[in-house]
Amino acid sequence: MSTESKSVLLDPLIDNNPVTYQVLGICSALAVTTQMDTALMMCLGLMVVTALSNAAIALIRHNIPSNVRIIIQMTIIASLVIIVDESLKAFAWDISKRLSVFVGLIITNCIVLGRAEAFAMQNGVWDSFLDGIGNGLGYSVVLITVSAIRELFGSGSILGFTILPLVDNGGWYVPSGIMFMAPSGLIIIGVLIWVIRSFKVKQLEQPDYKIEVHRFEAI
Amino acid sequence: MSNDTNAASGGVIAKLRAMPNDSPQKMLLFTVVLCFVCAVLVSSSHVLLRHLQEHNKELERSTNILQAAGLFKPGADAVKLFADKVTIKLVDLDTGEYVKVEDKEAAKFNQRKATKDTQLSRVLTSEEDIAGLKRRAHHAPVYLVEENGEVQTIVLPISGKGLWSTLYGFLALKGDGRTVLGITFYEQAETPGLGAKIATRKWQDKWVKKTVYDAQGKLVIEVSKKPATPATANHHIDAIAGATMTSNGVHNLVHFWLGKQGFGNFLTRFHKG
Repeated sequence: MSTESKSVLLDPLIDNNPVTYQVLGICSALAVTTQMDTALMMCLGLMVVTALSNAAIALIRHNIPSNVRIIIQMTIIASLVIIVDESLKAFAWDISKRLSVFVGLIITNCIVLGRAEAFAMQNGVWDSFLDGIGNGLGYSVVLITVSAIRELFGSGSILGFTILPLVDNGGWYVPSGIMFMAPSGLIIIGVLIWVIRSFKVKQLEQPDYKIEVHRFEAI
Repeated sequence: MSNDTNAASGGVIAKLRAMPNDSPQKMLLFTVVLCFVCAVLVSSSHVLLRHLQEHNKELERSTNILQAAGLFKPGADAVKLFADKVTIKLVDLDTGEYVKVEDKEAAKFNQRKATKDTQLSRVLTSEEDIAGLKRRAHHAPVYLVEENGEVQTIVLPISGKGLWSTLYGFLALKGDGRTVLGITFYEQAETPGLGAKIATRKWQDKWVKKTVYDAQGKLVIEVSKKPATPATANHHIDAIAGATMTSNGVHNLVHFWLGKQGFGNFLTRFHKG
């Protein structure tokens, strides 16, 4: 694999992470991360959709009329999402029931349309496919981290295996109720962004404006 | 029009590629072709996978009914077990009588579809509608487990509003029509970790052996935050802490489906003695 393809694939993991750096796809990152298995399935779904939609759009990119390009991208993405949803219902019924509407909502996930518009419209099929996989992986890194924390402290388990025995089942751990609520996802993602940006100082944004101290005593 | 033959031999795609990108014709043709391709993909995935999806649904329904009735064994073929043990009958909820139809017809009856059909259902008044269902079908399926001609288990489909979602489940009663054998919820979208506990075995097991009607035929079962007293112990189920709305929803839907608008009229036939 050429170095360029490699960076297309690996950059989105941390350096250009769609969730923590570009702050996209937050909605589903909050909704499906109470348990790890749903989060994993969601990651897989998103990765498949982003990779295939990127590849499909890159394949026809020279012929897409620019006036209707967003509609065309959405049509391709929506069709892929429906196919993924139908396949989940056929092959992973239990998980598809728990993911409920969120599989359908991959259509509105900004990462998918963002990559289609920003990358696949300008790049070749293979690179676009890798970019989709890479961004899917970047999204997965965040979702897996968040869901691991939420499942561990909310249900005392990881992937359904008990780590901290719950009081309910005769153990000692009192589960933290907030881990089930969306705000905990937001807080964890916030902390994650903070941690990443304190190591990767390049990601820090310049403040838009600076508050000047107003000295009354000077008047 | 001299290049018509040329274009036809190259097909639509070649014709499309030759057009300038922003011409209105290309825009129109491109979108039509793309929509066609996508439509074919989407509908073929639906048609090809429908068989598997329906099998999943059937398996889930059978498993849930068997679980409520206490007949489910892990690893067993639920669909086969269901076909062996369970008879499906249709009940007219207003009269409490069985509807005379073929067994096959009864098995095909779709309660959710019927509830939306104005011919097959009616609007509930606000006093009747304690479960928040708005409409109720005239008929409902019941799942009976019979042995030596005696009904051993009656499984009733139940549904009603919780906090966020409509809950769907099954309530299994013993042949006496009073004692709970089990309850399951197979569809709910309540708060994970709180209301969603209604779908756990642990909470559902609290229902086993509770009495729904007292000796006078009064509906006594309750889901309540109040602690049980010795007098209420055999018909009291503890509400889930932190999930008052969901617990109330379950209380109301059980009362609806065991009441006069639900299976109340039908169940009196089992109350003899």
